[in-house]
Amino acid sequence: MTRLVSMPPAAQLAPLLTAYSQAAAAKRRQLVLGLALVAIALAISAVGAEVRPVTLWNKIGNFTSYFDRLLKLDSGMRVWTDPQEWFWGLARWSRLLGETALIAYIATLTGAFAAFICAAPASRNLMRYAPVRFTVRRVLEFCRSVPDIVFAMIFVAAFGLGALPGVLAMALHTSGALGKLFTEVLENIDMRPVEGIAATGGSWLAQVRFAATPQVLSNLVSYTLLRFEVNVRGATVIGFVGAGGIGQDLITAIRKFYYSDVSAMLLMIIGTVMVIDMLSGSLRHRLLAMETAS
Amino acid sequence: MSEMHGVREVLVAHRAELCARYPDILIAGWGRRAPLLACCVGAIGLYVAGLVALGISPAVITSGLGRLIDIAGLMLPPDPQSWSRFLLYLGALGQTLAIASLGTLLAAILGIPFGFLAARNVVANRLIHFLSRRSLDTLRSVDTLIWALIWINVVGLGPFAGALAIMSSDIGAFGKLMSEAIEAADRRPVDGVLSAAGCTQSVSDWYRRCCPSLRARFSTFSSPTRGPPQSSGSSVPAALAFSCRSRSVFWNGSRSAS
Repeated sequence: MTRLVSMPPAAQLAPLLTAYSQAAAAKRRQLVLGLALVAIALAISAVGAEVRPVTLWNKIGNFTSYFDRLLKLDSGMRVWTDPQEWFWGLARWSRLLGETALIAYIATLTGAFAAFICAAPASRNLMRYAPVRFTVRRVLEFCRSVPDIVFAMIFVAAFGLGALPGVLAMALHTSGALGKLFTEVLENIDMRPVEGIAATGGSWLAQVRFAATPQVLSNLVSYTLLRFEVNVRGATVIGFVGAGGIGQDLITAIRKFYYSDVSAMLLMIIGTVMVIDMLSGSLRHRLLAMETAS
Repeated sequence: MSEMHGVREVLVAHRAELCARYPDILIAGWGRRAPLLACCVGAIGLYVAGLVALGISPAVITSGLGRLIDIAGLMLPPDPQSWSRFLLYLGALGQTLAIASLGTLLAAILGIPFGFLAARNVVANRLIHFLSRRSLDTLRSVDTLIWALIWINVVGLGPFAGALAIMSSDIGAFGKLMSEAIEAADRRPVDGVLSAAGCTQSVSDWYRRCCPSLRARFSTFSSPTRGPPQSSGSSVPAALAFSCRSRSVFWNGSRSAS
């Protein structure tokens, strides 16, 4: 191939080349330094997390044999030879899975609603009074930083076993997580419509409702759908602490080594999560397309 | 201030004229709003039906609220009771951080090959693409807590099982994010290199050229510290908060790119 780029003379080229190699060397040094820092952090974490690679290597057979046992019935047969025996609790598990999805749905909607209410007072451009902003932000941070399963444990003690503590715990955590995202979205809006509403004498509520909300609504719905996917996954284990859904049956089956039950429930969970992920994913993409079109 | 009120008064006074001039904007079209309205009604209907089905009522909530306040009162002033126990908790907190960072890092490293396998513009084979996407989905849809129970069977009780569990479920999350980032990566640098040098395109070549645009995005998923530290005994991960956060980062990035 012929060279199309004209080359400058060597005298002109030499300082450029040295500068280039110096810059490249500096970049390389930075990379090595970064890698070394990561390696040190990794080593410290490995000590902290009591990593035992030898045990892992020796016992990795347990991992495969666990899945082998998951796919065996009590009779010793493979599970797929007798689907009826494998999915003996289909009706009950389906009901529990429905309950799980419902817990996630109600919690997500409640949490999103609370987050929406908190987002405007927490965003810097819409709320002028720093103390209000500070308070709302700290409350959201608290809700976000305690995981829902910990909230659920506390709520089970207060409200008793059942779906209610699960819903409340998830809604609380969701409001914190979504509140932050909503606030960030609101802080990035175009302020001109807000000023327009203010100029016509609109109240603060009118500014938020008619100037801010229309700009961000599709984003908020999209984040809520994303959170719904996360919550469906979380709702499958929130029953571990007795807060409703399929988790209660699953943990019992795992603890009592009912292997085929575990695999049947896991398969149902994976299927449900996949279907919900796909549905909400396509919905989100459509929302995005709608937003870019308008 | 009087001028501002002037605008409003002018607008109100000329309402009829303005409505006649901009009927699309100012007059609510019920035909246009009907689908949205139906969606809202459906969503709220499902919400109420769900509340009924799960047996949640204001009475149940208020009766439990009293007990909740009692429990919160018992928790309140936070008191580790003794200095040694405080140190114990501090150590457990450190262990939690170690579990989280190790699990995340391992998942990020192992997620890269999966991400490339699952990206449509790297591996053109439909079957491989489908299978790798579905296996990532499977890894992801099993919650970290369940993975922890499985890993306990392998390496025994302890934080190592927690790190492996976070790794297992996050490989799915990272793989998905990375594959989407790769699919959204700018093709022009690749085209530029191809047209200048005319060399064949292989996966490794492609990787090298895409790397600069991808590296920034990958590091945004993995570098923020994971969610908050939690009780290390159960090694409950903050995968939920974290995955939501990382996804939102990615999502914004891909939007601005597209």
